[in-house]
Amino acid sequence: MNLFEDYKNVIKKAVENDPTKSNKIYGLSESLLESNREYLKSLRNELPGRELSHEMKLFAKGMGVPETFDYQPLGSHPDFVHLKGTDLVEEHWIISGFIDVKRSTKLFNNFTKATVRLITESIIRASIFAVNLCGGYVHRIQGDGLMVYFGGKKKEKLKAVEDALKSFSMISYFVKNDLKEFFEDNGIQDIHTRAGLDLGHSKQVDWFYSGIGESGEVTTCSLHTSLAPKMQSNAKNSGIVVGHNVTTQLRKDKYFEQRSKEIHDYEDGRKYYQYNFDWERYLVDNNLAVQNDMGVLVLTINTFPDPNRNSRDLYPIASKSKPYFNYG
Amino acid sequence: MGKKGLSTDIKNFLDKYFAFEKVESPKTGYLALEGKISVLDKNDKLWGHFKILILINEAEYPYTVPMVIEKTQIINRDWDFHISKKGECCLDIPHKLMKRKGRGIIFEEFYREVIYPFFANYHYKESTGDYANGEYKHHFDGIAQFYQEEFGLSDFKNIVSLLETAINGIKYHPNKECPLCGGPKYKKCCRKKIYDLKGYGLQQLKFDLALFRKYSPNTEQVSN
Repeated sequence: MNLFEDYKNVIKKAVENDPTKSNKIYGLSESLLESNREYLKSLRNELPGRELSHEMKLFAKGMGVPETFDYQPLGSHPDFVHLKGTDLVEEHWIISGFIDVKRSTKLFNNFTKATVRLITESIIRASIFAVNLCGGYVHRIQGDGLMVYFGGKKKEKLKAVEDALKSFSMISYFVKNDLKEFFEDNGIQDIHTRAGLDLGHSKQVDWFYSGIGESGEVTTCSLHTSLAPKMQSNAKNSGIVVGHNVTTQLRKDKYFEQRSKEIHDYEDGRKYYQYNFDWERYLVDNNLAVQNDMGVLVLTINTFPDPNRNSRDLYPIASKSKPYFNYG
Repeated sequence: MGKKGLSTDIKNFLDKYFAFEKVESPKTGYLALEGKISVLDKNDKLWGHFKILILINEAEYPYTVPMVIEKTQIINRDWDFHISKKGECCLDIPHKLMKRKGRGIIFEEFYREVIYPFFANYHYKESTGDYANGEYKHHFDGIAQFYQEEFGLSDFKNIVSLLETAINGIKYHPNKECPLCGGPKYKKCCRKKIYDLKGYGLQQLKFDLALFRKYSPNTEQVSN
């Protein structure tokens, strides 16, 4: 099962049909560009929309999410939408997350902007799916990145932390395992995600309406919302960095490696620390991924054998073994 | 190398294969790993999972062969599936395992090349009725089969001569007629077999010799 197969296929087709490479010598004519734009327009329809693919439905079912889940509207968090246009302020805990694709500007060197647009949109749509699947809210799309909230008034804090970690792990998996190698084969080196997540407790987060009239948004004022993008910029390639508040919720040290430098100095002797999150281990431990003979992760939620498996594909591994019996 | 090399190799393994962890060992002097093998084919299709226990001799590492015990009882405790009643898996013919032992193993490589394929092969047999690369017969018949397949030897008397030569370190003139099979030059026929046999270790060769003598009682012992 490949959860992101449909997104990956659209990206592959877009790249394979991009006219830049095959027309480097003579340049791109307007008619060629136009015909490619028409192709991409029809290709865009192959991206999963509100209707989930078979694999996505299976995955949703395995996670206990209804197959017909609705994508949450972008922008105001539904639990705080009533603050829109008011001067009211509410304190409530929230997990803030930032994730984006690094080195994606390199795409413009190799492909037309129409191809880049479809690649970016595919990644963004896959990310929005992963966020919604895990009960999160996309607050804002920023080019090839997302600002996301996890949690709300009817949510349990620990569950929201787990959901946030699962969601960002899945997005990191998609780019690292499904796309990175493909891009490298097509001359784009080292495309990767970087992500930051932090939890602000209720006393640490103000929800309010920021802006004038329609020109504003319901948002948070919190040190921890502000720290999340800083953590994102500190993350290693394909890495997720989380704040101390996240680690104390999960209480499982094996997933977190404290970074030597704090992310914030309160200047009163206290320091707030950041941690590298071992998302690959987390996916395996939470039965969202398994590993093949080489240790490579494969995202799957199904514990049952794949009905489409074929012994021909197992032969290369199985034939390394020739068993012998010598007991009793 | 011993414990230091083992702890480095195990750390590397556990940093890569997340479904395994170190557990309290049921056997003194052995390091124990417990975890789940998920069998995936080359198209990443899932075939199934096994919970297994791996025991590694700490003092002997890397010159050792890890023991693997299948805990889920998915594999029928039947010798046709090359597994003991206790779940001990017969991963390969001892000769090949002894060769790995003699060279020294790297645990991660052993997992990838021996342990994982054993469980993949179980699914292959379940699916097709046969093991992917065939199987060795049980007990002595399997050893005789190994000598046939590996060296093209089926004459037990000849095998006994080769084993005695390898065990006793008997030297023959390389350019003279081979005293073991009658070939024109020793170096062109049986000498290579002797080198290969030595790779399985003295203990295994002595074990084989006893068996081949038992099943070929009229063979005379080669003198030095």
